[in-house]
Amino acid sequence: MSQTPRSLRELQNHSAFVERHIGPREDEKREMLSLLGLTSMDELIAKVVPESILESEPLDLNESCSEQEVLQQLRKLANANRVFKSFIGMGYYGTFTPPVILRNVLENPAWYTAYTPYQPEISQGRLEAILNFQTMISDLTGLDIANSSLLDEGTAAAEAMALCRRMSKSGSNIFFVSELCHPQTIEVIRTRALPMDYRIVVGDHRRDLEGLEVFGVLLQYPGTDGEIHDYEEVVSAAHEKRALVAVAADLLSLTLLTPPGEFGADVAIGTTQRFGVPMGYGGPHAAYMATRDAFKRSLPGRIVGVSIDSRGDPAYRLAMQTREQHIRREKATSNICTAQVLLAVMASMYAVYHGPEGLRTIARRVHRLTTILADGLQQLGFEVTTRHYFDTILVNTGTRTAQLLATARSQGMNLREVNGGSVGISLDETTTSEDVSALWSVFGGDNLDAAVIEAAAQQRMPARLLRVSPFMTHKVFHSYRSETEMLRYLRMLSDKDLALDRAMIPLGSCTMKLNATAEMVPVTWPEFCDMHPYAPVEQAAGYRQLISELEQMLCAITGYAAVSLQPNAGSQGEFAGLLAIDGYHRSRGEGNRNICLIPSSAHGTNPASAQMAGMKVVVVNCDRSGNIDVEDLKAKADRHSDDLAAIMITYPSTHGVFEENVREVCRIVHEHGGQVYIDGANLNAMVGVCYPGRFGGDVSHLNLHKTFSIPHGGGGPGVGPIGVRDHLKPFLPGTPLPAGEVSAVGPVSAAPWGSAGILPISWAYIRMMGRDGLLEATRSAILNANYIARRLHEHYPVLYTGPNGMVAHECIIDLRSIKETTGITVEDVAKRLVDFGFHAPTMSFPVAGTLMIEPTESESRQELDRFCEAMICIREEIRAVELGRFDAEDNPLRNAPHTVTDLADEEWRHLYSREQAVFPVASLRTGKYWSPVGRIDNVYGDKHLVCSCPALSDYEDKPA
Amino acid sequence: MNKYMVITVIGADRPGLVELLARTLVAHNANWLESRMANLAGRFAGMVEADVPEENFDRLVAALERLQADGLNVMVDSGLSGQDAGGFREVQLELTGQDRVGIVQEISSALARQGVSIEKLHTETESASWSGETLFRAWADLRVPDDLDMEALQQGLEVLADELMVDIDLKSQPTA
Repeated sequence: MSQTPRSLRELQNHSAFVERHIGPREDEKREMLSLLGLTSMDELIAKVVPESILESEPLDLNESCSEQEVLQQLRKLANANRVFKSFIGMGYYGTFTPPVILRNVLENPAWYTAYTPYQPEISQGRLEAILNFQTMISDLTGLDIANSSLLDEGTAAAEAMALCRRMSKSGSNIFFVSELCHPQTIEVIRTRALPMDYRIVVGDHRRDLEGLEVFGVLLQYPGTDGEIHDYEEVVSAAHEKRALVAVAADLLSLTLLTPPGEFGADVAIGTTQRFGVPMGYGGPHAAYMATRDAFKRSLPGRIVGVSIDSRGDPAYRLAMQTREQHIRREKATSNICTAQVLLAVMASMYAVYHGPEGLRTIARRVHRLTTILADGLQQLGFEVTTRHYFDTILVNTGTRTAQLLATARSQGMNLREVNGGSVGISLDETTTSEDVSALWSVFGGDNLDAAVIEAAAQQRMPARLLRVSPFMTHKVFHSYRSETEMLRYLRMLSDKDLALDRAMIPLGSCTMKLNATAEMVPVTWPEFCDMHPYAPVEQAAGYRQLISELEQMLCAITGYAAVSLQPNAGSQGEFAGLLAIDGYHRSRGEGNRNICLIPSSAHGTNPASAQMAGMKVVVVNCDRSGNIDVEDLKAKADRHSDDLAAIMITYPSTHGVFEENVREVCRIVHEHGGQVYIDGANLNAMVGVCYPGRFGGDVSHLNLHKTFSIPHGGGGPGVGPIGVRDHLKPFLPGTPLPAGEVSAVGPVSAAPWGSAGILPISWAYIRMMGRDGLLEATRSAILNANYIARRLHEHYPVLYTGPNGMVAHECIIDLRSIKETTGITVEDVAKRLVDFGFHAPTMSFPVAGTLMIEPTESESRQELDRFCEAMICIREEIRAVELGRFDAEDNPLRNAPHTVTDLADEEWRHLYSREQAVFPVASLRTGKYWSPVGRIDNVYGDKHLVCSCPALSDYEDKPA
Repeated sequence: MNKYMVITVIGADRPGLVELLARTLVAHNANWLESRMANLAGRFAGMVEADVPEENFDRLVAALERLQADGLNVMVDSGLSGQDAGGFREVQLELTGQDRVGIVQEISSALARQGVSIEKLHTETESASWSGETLFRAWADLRVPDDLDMEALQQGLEVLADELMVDIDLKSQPTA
C-alpha cells in the first residue's frame, strides 16, 4: 500500500456532529442543487439572499467540536456549580423527579420532540397528559377550570391581573398586591402593569385594602414568609367592591389546606415546579392558572378540551384555540403562545405517580419536619415568628443574621435572608430529619434530642383551614401505583403521538430541527438541575460562565451588542423588546411615541405584544408578492412621524421570502424616529449569512427552541432571549430582585435568567456546529426548502418567491384554487397526511387556505422525498375528485385520517377501497403510523366544553 | 314624476343575467341607481335600486315578472321614498370570530336592541391559522342613530365579544 496515510486531523473529524445534524449528504446536496439548476451552495445563497444584506465574513465563533468534547466542556461547567441544599423557598423547592418520569418523559424524545397539539389526532397522548394536569389543578385549587400551563408564577400573577381587569366591573385602575407575595412576583407584576396604566398598591391585606377601590387583589397562600392567613373576609370585602381576587397558592400545601376556590377566590395561580420538576436555576417549570366557569373565556394560554371524533368516540383537542392567533389581536390582554407543556406533563405524571394519598403523605412529612425544626429552634432560644405555617418559617435572628447565613453556607446550606433581621427556612420533599439536625446545628443546637422534640411537636396549620374536600378522585390518579403500570401508561400515551422521533414535522415558522441527544444529556445533570435561582451567585460560577458565553455567541450570530436570556418564551421576548424600545424613547423625553407599525402578514403575537407594551397598532399593508408595501409604510410612518415608536417585522418574512427592501424599510422607520423590532422567528435562515443587528434591526427576540435546538416539548419550554444594539442596552429587563440600582425596565420573568436549566442545549448546539457548521445548517435549510418548493410546484402553486423565483427556508403552497374546484380544504390535506405518517405543515398561516412547509436542515433527502411523494400522491387524489373519479364527499381526503377501527368495520361503506384508505403508497405496508382517533369535531368540543378528565361513563356512552 | 323602486332578483347563475336585467330597465327608460350583486354557491342574487317614469312603472313590473321564464325570480318593492332624511350616520363594523351557529343572529339582535340597522353585510368563512378551524368574518355597514354614541355601541358589542370570542372593530368614517 503506497497511499499516503490520511492526516490525523482528518481522522479525528471534529465536524462529525455537523454531518449528523444536517440531513442531506454532500452528493445529495449536489443532486438537489442541480435540480434547482445550480452548481454550488454559494450560488444558491446568492440567489436567495439579497446582495444588500449578504455578508461573507465567517461568524465570529469557534470551530465545530465533537459530541464527546462538548460533553466534557459542559461537565467542567457543571462542576463549577456548587449545589447547596436549598431552604430558600420563594416558590422554588427541592423535589424528587420519579426516575420512571425522568427517563420516560423528560429524557424521552417521544415527549420532548413533539409539537404543540394543533393537530389533535396525532397528539392524543400528550393531550391526555395535559388534561390530567388541568384536572389536577382544578381539583387542588377548588376552581372549575384550569389551563394547561403558563410560564412561571410571576407572569402567571400578571396574567391573573389582566384577567381581573377584563372581568371586574370595578372602575378603579388599582391592582392590590399583598406584601406577602413573593418579591419576584411583585416585580414582574409592576413591569406588566406599567404600560397598561394600572396602579399597583402593595400592602397589608388586613389593613390597606380598607377604603381602597381596586379592580383586583393578589394574595399569596401561604405567604412568602410562611404564614397561613384566613382570607375569607378579605375575599368577600373585595367582592363587595366588585373587585376580583387572585390567589397565588402553593400546590403541595393545597393537599392539606382549604383550596382558594372554597374561600371564594376567583382565580388561583402558582407554579407546579415542586411536583417533580427540577429547579434548574429558575426554570423551565409550568405555572398554572385556574378560574371560575364564568371567566373561562378569559383564561389565557392553551386549554385542552374533550370532543368527539368522526365515529362519535371521545377525543381530546385544544379548546377555544382561535382566541390565540386571530381574535382580539389588538385588544389582547395576553400574548402567550408556547407555554411549558413538557413540564406540565411531568407535573401531571408526578400526580399520577403519587396519587392524592401519596401527595398528602409528602405534604404531611414536609409539614411534620417543619414543626420539628421550629420547635427545636425555639428550644435553642430563637423566636419563630410564623404562627401558622405549612413548610416555611421565619426565625427572628436580629444582629446574628449575617453570621447564621454564613455558617449555613459553610455547611452547604442556603437559607433566605428576610429584611435584614430574619431568616426564612423552607423545607420540601427532599428534606430529611438529618437535614433538620444540620439546621439546628447552624443555630448552635448540637445537643437537641430529635425524638423528644418530635414527640411533642404539634400540627401548626390553622384547624379552620384544614382541607376536607377530596381531590384527584378520577381513576387516572389511582391506577398506576406499580412502576410496571406507570411505565406502560407513559408508553401507551407516547405511542399515540407523532413526534420528531417518528417523522419529519414540516411546520412552517416552527423550525422543527433535530434536538440532538448530546445537547439534551446535560439538562438532567444535578449540577444544572438542582440549583435554586436565588442561590448566592458565587455558587453558580458554571452557570454564569455558560450564560455569558451563550450571550456572546448569540451576539456574534445576530450582530447585536448585548443579549438578555431572561425572557422564557418568544412572547416574553417580544414584550421585553418593546419595553426596551419604550424605555429608550422615554429616556429621550419622547415617551409620547406609542405607535407600532405591524405588517398585515405578522404572527398574531406581534400585535398582542404591542398592545401589552402600551402601544397602538397600525397595520401596514403587504403588496401582491407578500412584501411590505413600501409606499403604504412611507405614508403611515409619515402620518405618525411624531409618535412613531417602532415597526415589528419578521425576517425573512412570514411569507418565507427574503424581502429585497428590508434595509429601506428600516431606514424609513429610523428616519421617522422609530425603532426597528425584527422578530427572530425565522433566524434559522439567517445564521452566518446576514445579521439583523447590522441590516437595520435595533432589537430582536430569538427563539432558542427554533433555531438553537431546544426541543418544543409538545408546546414548551420555549426560550425567547432578546438581542439589542448598543443604545438599547440600558433597557434590557432588570433583575427580579433588585439590589441597589433600579433598572430602567423591570423584569419580565420570575427568575433572573428565565429558563436557565435548558440553556446548555443551545450552548452545546452552537459549540458542536461551530462557525462553519452553523453556516452550512443555514444553507442546507434553504436548500431543503427550495428542493421541496421545486418538487411540488408543478402540483401545487408556490405562493411567494423572491425575485429569482426562490424561497427562503420555508415555502407556502396554495390550496385555495383546489378548494374552489373540489371543496377539498387545507384541513383535509393535513389530515390525509396523517394517513401517510406525517405531521401536517402549518395550516393557513400566514395566508388562509395555504400550507407552509419548513423542512429545516436536519431532514434527509430520503425524508424530503417521502414527504414530496405523499404530497404528490395527495394531489392525484384531489385530481380524482376533480375528475369525478372520487366522490366529492366520500373520498379518502374528506374522511382522513383512517383508523384501525375504520378498517375493521364489518362492512366497508366507502366509495374507495380499504387499501386506498390506509396504504396509498406501498412503503406504508412495512411501517405505518396509525392515527388513534378519527377526525376530531372542533365545533362540538367548543359547544360542549369539558376541560377536565371525563368520567369513564362518558367513554362508554357514545353521543348519538 | 319618477317612481322609486327596489328590484330583487334571484336565479341560477349564468352569463348574461345582469345584461338581461339592464336591457329590461333601459327598455322602460328606468334609471339604474345603485346595486349589489353576488354569486354564492352557483346562485345569483342581486338588488337594484332604480327609478322609472311613473307612466312606465306597471309595464316595467310586468316585464320583470316575465323574466321568470328566463330563470330569474324577481320581486319589486316600490313602497319606498328613497333615502331617509338625517338622524343617522354610517359606521363600519368588522368582525372576526369562531364560526358557530347563531353568530349572525346574536350580533344583529344586539344591534337591533340599540336601534342600529344593517345596511350591508358581507360574510365569509375561512380556515384559521394553525388550527385550521373555521373562522367567521363579517363586514357590515351600519346605520347608527345620531343619539347613540360610539362608546355605547362599542360597549354593547364588547359584551358579545367576550361571549362569542369575536374581535369587533368599529370605524365611524366610511372606508374606501
